[in-house]
Amino acid sequence: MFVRIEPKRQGFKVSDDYNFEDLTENKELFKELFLEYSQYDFPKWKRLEFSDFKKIPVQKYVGNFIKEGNVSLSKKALNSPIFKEFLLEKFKGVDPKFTLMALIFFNSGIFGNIDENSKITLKYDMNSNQSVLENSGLALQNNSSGTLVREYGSGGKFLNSASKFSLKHDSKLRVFNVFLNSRTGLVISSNLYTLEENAEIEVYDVIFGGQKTAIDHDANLIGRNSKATFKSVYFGRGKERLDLKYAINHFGEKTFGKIESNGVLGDESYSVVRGNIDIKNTAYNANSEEKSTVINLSSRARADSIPSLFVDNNNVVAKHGASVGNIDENKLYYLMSRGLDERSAIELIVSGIFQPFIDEIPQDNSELKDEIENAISIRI
Amino acid sequence: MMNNFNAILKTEPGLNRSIIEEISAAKDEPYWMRELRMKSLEFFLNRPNPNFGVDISSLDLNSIVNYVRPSVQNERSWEDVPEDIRNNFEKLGIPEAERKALAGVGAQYDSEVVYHNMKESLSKLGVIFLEMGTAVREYPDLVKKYFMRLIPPNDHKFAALHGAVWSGGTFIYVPPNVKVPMPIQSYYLMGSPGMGQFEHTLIVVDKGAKLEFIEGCSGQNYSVSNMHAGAVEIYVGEGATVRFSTIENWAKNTYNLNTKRASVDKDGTIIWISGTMGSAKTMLYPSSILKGKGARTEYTTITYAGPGQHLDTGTKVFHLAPYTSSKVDSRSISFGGGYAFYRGLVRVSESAIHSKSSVDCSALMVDDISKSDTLPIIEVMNNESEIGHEAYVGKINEEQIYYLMSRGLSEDDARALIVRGFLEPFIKQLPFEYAVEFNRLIDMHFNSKIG
Repeated sequence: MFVRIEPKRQGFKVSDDYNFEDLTENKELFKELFLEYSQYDFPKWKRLEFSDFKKIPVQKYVGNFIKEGNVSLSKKALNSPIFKEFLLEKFKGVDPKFTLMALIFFNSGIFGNIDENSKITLKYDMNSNQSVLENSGLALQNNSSGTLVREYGSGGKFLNSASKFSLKHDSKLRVFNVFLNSRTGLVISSNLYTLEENAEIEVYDVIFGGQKTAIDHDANLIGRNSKATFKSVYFGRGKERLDLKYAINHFGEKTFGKIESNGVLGDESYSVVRGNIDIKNTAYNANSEEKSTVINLSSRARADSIPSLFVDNNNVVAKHGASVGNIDENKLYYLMSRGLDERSAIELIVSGIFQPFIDEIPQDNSELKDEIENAISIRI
Repeated sequence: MMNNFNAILKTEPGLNRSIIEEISAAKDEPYWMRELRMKSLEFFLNRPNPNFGVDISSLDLNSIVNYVRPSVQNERSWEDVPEDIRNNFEKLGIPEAERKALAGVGAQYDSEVVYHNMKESLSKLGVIFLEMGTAVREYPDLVKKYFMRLIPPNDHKFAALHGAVWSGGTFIYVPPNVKVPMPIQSYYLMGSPGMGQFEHTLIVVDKGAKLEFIEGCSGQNYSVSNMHAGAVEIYVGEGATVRFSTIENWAKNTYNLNTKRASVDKDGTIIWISGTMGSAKTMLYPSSILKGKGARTEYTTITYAGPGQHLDTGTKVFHLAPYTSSKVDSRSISFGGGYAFYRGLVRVSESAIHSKSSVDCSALMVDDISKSDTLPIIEVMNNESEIGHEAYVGKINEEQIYYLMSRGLSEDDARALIVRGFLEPFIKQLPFEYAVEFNRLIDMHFNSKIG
């Protein structure tokens, strides 16, 4: 009935955009999507200070990013009509321009059709690949369960990932995204989750860089009793800027949502955390909460929190909380009184924030756990 | 029945330079004020509508008559005010309020203050309490120093509109270390169809002084849209305290696009008590600029959105100095299809070390056709502050209703009681007669008879 006025998308043009000639195979498939892609200019982001984009040619992915799991390369999955439709389905993500870009020009990504318990590990090597564009899709059939571990390695110039997850009834998926992109210029990740009855998704983001990072997770809780949990930890340093958005849209009855983010900021880094809980009119007895905390280690770091609740149904519980503060001095003094120097004490406290995440990562990804611990200590 | 047939000067609908000149000339204004109006008009014509908030596309600014001056001069005593206008105020209980020894009453009917009185004792203390236009003429230097400095005309489209056509309002100056012993009150009433009310309130409270100000706003329902774009500027001096209470209960066809801002010097305090329940659409975000070390702000606000209302309200706090603190308690109720939107900003600058902020907002949804949104923005640019925010949206607890019903209350009464309980922290901050009025309003909306 009422219109809510919102700021319009601001855009900028670039002289050298990806064009139809950049596609080498299956051109016809992408014609329609490309038409739409070419109508968008690039999004201008104030908080991320993003207003310039230089095209980085997308080359054939060098190496093998599938480390584990019964999945096929997206490129191959396009041969199947059903999988094709799934992989080419567009969505908004971080911004339609980038999401369409990944859907069309991808050089990596997987498609998995999961009907029992599966584990998938992907490791993207960005030292050997200047740009990684990922188009991935996972379809979880009824009563199945899966774990997806994705690691995006250091180096490279541009990461742009678009992933869709479809969870049929009573399926369960855990996703771990680890971004070790401290030197990557631009990191974009868009993710869409659609959940049927009793389905459950848990997503863990661990973020160390890139220089500018925009991540978007959007869950649509369609089925009754479906459940989404988003948890993230990040550690910014230097002049890194990151803009994270976690959105949970409640459509079904008795749906459950939880968003939790914990950040540590050093130097002149800058984080923006947006948590959107949107409870539609149909979502009776929905329950949703979000919480974000930031620890500022530096006087020049900046933390923005934008938690929003949009509620159309009165039969719900929705809440959010946010806090920004310094490192807990009592803890620090306590540790220092036990003989630790300040740096080690801070390291211990910061590790404490990351530890619960590391613990959640499956045991057989122990190498990844080491890499995360390493990244923390380098950053301090 | 209200009537305004005795209006002697009514500008043509729409806005242009000659209308502004007409307004300025009628008010016998100094040159600088006329220039400010002209510059504001230019900003207004060139600025786009706000890119957030309520939809104002159906508001026809050109047809809103910007200035209506009732055919009376400022009256000194209540009995001299013409009867039809007096009747309107009578209904609002203003003289009664005065009898209760409020420090003074300035009541504005349409665009000019028609009645203004102040206790002589306050004059002796050096407190200036005048209709804004009179203050421009009598204290030009003092007014010029502060007028639209906190809300510059180019701030946003409706600040610009206000700057161009402002009329009436209140000016208060409290000299250093004077503690005004009783609250000062102004009441604004919109009485003509299709008009705009653009009163300007300017409050300057000098070092160590103290003031409590109460503002009431309402209007009659007409089929033509009305518009209110007022401005409130409050300057809180070093160590001074201002408590600003306001009840905005505009008619249900009013677009209320209002701007309120306070700047607070070292160790000063601004306390906002703010209730928004009238209007069709509102955008209102009282702002506190904490620019002196140790400056404080406190908010207790409620937004009460019923059928046909889209109320987009919030609070904005700018921590610009060390050891500043802010505390926000914001509540909203939406019922009968109403839409309440809370929009908040807390910005803690690099220099505002050791600052503290806590923001609490809660929303109560009475039924499932209403809507309640919360969008707070928190920006922290240093590492030595403590910033917290919490929000909660929920329904009326059915168990509480059953309990109250088991104790003999009707369901309507039980609902009204719970709504009142939710609004209690706000209502208890109100002056007595407003609190009574507010409780009556809740009873009316929830068909309760316990009030």
